[in-house]
Amino acid sequence: MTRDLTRTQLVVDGVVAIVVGVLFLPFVMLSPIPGVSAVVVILLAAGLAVRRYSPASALSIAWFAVAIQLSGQQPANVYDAMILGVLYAVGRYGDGWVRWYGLVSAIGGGVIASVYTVAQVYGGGTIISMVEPANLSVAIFSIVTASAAAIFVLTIAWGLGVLMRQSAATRASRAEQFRLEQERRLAERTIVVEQERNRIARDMHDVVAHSLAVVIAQADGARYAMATAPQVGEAALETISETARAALVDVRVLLAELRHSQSGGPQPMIGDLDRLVEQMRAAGLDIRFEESGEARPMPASHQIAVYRIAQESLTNALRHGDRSRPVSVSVIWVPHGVVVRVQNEVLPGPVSSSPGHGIAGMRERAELTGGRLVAETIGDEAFRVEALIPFPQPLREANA
Amino acid sequence: MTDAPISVLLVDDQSLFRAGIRMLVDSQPDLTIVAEAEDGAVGVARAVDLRPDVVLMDVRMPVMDGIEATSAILERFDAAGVPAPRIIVLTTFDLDEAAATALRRGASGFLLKDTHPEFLLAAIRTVYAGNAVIAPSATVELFRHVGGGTTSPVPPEFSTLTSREHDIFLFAAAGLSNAEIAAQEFVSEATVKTHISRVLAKLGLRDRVQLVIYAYEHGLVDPGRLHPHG
Repeated sequence: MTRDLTRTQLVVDGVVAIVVGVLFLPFVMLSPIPGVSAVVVILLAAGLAVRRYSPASALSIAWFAVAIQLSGQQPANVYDAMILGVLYAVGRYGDGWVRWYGLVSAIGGGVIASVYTVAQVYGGGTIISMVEPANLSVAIFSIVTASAAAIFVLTIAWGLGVLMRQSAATRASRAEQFRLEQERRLAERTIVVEQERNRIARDMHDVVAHSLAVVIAQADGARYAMATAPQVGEAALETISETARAALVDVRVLLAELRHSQSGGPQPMIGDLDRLVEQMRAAGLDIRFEESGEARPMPASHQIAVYRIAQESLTNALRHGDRSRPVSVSVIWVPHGVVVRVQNEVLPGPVSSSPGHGIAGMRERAELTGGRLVAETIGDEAFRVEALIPFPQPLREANA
Repeated sequence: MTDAPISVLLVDDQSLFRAGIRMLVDSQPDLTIVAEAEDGAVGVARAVDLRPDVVLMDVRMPVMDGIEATSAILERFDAAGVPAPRIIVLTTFDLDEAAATALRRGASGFLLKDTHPEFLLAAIRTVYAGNAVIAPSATVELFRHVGGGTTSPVPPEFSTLTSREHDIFLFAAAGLSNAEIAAQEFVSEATVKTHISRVLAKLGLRDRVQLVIYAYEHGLVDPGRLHPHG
C-alpha cells in the first residue's frame, strides 16, 4: 500500500506539510474552539505529508480529521482546503481501488460537508432543527446547491490528479517509444557497419587469394616450362607484375575503407565525394567532376551506395582504363532520386576478360536501394557505369 | 600401361591461373593438359567428351561450382559404366568445407592452390595410379574441422574384412602407399593392390581417400599415427 519514494521526496513532502500547517495557524486561533482546530490541522498536515507515500492512508487520516471537526461542532474552515491536496494526490498517485476511494470520498465528503454547514446555518447546529416544516424546503434547496458546489470543488481536485497521472503515463510511453526508436537506429547502423566489414573481407579474399594464386601458378609454371621453352619466361613475368600491381591498387583501396570503418567514423556520404575525387586525382586520374540538380536529403544507406559505386567505378578506371585521358564523374539530382555516372576511356585492344566482382557488387548495392545500375562499353574506347539511386517511397511522396 | 601421357582436364575460372598450371603440367613428358574449362558446366562437358585420366577442379566457380561438377562427372561416368576420371579439388583454404563436401561426393583428394609444384605433379601421378592417398593428414584434419570431431559406430560390413585386409585397411587409412604397406606386411605390391580393391569393394568405397574418411568418421584411425608425408 506504500509507494517507493526517494529520501528527498519524503523530506520535501514532510516540510511542505509543516509549512502549510503553520500557514493555517491564524485560522486555528480565530476558530471557535482552537484546541479542536489544532488537532484537525495537525491531522490534515499529517495526511498531506504522506499523500505520495501512501495515498490511501492520507485519505483515511483526512476522513478522521473531518470526523473530529464535525464531532467537535467546528464549522467548515479555510484549513479544510488541505483536503483538496490529499484528493489530488489520491487521483494522481493512487492505484486501482484507492483512486475510486478518492472519487467516492469527494462525493460523500461534499454531501456531508454541505448538510452539516446548512444545519449549522439554519438550525443552530442540529439536524433535527432542519426537519421542522418551516425550514424544510429552504434547507433541502440549500443542501442540494451546497452539495453540488462542494462535490464540484472536491472532484476537480481529484480529477486534476487523474489527468496529471494520465499525461505522465503518455509522456513515459512516448519516451519509451523514442528510446526504442533510438535502439532500432543503432541496431540498423551496426548492421550496415557489419555488412561493410564483411564485404571488405570478401573483397580482400578475392583480391589477395586470387591474385596470389595466379602469381604462384605463373611463376611455378614458367620455372618448369623454361627448361624447354625459355621464351615463356618473359610473358609469365609480365603477367606476374601486372597481376601483383592490380592487386596492390585493390588492397590499398580496401585498406583505406577498412581504416575508415575501424575508426568508427561515419560511413561515407554523397558529401564525401569531393574528398574521394581528390584522392583518386592524387592516384593519377584526371577527373572532371560535376554535380547538378537540386540536392535533397537521402537516407544514409542510399548515400553510402552512391559513394561506393563512384569509388568502385573510379578504382576500375584506375586499374583498367586509359589514365592519360580524363574520367568524367557526374552526380545528377532528378525528381525521384540521384543518378551517379562515371565514364572513362579504355585502352584499345582486347576487352578485359571478366567483368569482375566489382560490377556485380555495384549492381547489388544499387538494387538493394530499389535502384538500378547499367555498366556498358560505348564504342571501342569508353566504359560507362550509370546508377539510379531512388528516394525511398514515403520520402518521394513528401517531396512531390 | 602404355607410354601415353596422363591426360589432365583443368577446370578453373581464372584464365591466368590456368595458364600457369598448364605451363607446369605440360613441362612434364608424362603429363599433358588435354583441355581447360572456365566453369563447372563446361568442365563436365569436356570430361564426358575427352575422358581425361585426372581432373583438376577449382571449388568456387560461376555457373556450376566444383562440388556439383564433381558429382555430375562421377554420375555420368558411373551411369555409362566407364571408369571415372580421378578428381583433385583445388582450394584456397586448408579447412574448406566445400572441399570436404567434394571429397564426400567422390573426389580423390584435395590440394591447396599454393601447394608446391613438385607436390602437385606427384599428386596427379599418385591419384592416377591409385596406389596412395594425397595429403592424408590434411584430409583428416579437414574432416576433423568440418565434421565437429564426432564419430559414428562402425558399420557391420567392416567385420567382413579378413584380418589381413583389416591390417591393410589401417595402413592405408594412415596414409601409407602400397609400396610402404607391402614392406610392412612382407607381401608384394600387387598383393596389397588386390587387398585394397577388395577392401574398397566390401566397404562400398570409391577410392583410397574415401577409405581415409571412412576410417576417421568411424573412429578406426588415430590421427596422431598418420603418415608424416601428408
